[in-house]
Amino acid sequence: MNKQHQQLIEAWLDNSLSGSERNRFDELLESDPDFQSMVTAASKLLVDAQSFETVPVPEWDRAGAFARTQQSYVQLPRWLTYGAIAVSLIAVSLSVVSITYVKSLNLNTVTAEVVEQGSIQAEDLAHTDAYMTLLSRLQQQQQQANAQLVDYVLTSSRQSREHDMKLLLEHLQKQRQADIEYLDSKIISAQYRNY
Amino acid sequence: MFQATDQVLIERARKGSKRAWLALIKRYEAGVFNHALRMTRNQSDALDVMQETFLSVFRGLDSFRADSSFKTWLYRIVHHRCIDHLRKQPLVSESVDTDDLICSLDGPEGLLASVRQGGQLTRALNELPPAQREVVELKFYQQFTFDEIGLQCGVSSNTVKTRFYTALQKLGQRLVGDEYE
Repeated sequence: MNKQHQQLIEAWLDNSLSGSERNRFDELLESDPDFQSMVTAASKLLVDAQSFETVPVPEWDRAGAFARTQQSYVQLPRWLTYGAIAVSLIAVSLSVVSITYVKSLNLNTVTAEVVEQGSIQAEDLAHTDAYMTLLSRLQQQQQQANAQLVDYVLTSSRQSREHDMKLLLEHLQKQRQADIEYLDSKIISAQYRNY
Repeated sequence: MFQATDQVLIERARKGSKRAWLALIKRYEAGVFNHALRMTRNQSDALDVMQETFLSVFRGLDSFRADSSFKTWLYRIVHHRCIDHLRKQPLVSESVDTDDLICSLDGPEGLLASVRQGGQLTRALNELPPAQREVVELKFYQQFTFDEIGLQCGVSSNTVKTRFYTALQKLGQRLVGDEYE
């Protein structure tokens, strides 16, 4: 369809035709049967939409839907959450005590190792910090991935999900094929070496 | 009277406020139901689509990002639920007389059909492919812009315009043809 015709109809629908556009619009209405039929259809739809009475929504269980969705969110009792944190803290402190005790035994026997122990502890702390940072990054990534997945499942149609799944399977198939070829080449080169 | 914005209601619903959730439903259920009714042409199917939509919306509230309006996001979900629903339906044979179809509808579907000029427009709309019909419905009956329709249907606004003008051409030919019959 003619681009100019589209622009004219769009401006007409938005009620934003300029003087010259209005003249062109009227000319086309007189001379172009296709343009005329499209404007006729659009006019009928406009009239229909304006006179259309909204059909009242039948009664449905709005609160029931809320309850069903709420059930999917299993909320742990507060005491259980705090209890879990307390148990974790106790476990961590016990580990620290046992490590300190073992180290203190070593300290009693070999005085020269004191400096070394200190550096080991510092290293342990640095490792723990790095581990905690990594853990929090992983948690953030996991949350983002979950949100993306939920959004994808909600807003994609079944057909597009099937299409995506097909693409994923093809990708995995290719990776698998590449792995097989790589392993084959390794086996062959190992056999040559044995000869 | 002060009316909470969608964003405020969403935040409260996320925190478990049933009242906020019901207020959000009340605000949009008529639009969603009527759109689903026009797309499915059946009251119980429209009710199913609406319930599935709101269930999906609640489950996905945490993933809703305010980079588009809630209404656009909501209608994006309605669009997919309608398409899923239409795919499950067997195709209606072209030999079926749509006058019979309109007359056989009771309740809201009958009302919906009767307000459309003698069923002429309904017949013409029903003959459009779902993707084109949906664009026409969203443009004329929900007053969305082409960009918003594109976001809801997951296509560019150019594609939306192509569907829209193709639909108008078909409707125009059909309506003019009916006048001469």
